[in-house]
Amino acid sequence: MLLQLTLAIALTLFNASPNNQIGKKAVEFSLPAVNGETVALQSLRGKVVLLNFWATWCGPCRQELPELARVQEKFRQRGLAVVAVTVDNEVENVRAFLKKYDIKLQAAWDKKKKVADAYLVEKMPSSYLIDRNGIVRFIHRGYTPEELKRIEAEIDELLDKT
Amino acid sequence: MKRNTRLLLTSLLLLALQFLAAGCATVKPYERELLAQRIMDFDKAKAEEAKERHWLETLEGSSGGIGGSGGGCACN
Repeated sequence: MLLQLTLAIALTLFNASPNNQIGKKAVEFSLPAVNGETVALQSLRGKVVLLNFWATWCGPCRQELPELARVQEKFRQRGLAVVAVTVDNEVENVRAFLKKYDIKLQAAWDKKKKVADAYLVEKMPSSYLIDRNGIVRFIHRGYTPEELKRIEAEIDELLDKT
Repeated sequence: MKRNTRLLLTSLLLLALQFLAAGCATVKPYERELLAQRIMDFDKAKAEEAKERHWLETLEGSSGGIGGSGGGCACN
């Protein structure tokens, strides 16, 4: 019985691992955009999507976001869409932050944290690279300039694929 | 000890453990907004202390002398 219990717990933990999402279809979502519109993952099919979970109260996220805006500009023409999903409680903080640093990104507001739940976010910030067919290909947790270089290389690789 | 008493004690112990376990909560990384606020910091004067330390290190040319790393140039 103890063995069965251990196995059940191990299987549950294994299935709940975010890495299990690699190679699988990205969870569809539709969220209100910070600017008032709606951001739906489905509408970005055919593009490579960099889905980033961030918050204004998270230091590394604040460092990373302007860099992601730069990455968006760098690869926009080739078909990259960066979606910055904020998990802030107050959307006003997000608007103020984006305005202050003049960040022009597609920012969606996950007020109830349901999308973060669905993607099993285990570190802030977290980035999910989704290919043109809507399959999760890479997951990155945390932010360092080296990590961002890897992300850029992976974006380049995914954009080359049809 | 009678069997019934032992059973009762075990049940009470399990019940107590259950109540204690309820006090443990896992906060997901994206739910830490309130915990990330400065008021939640154990050291309430952290920022002020850092400024004071920087001032002292610059004055004394002793960067790193208080415990941090650095070569004494007071340039950071």
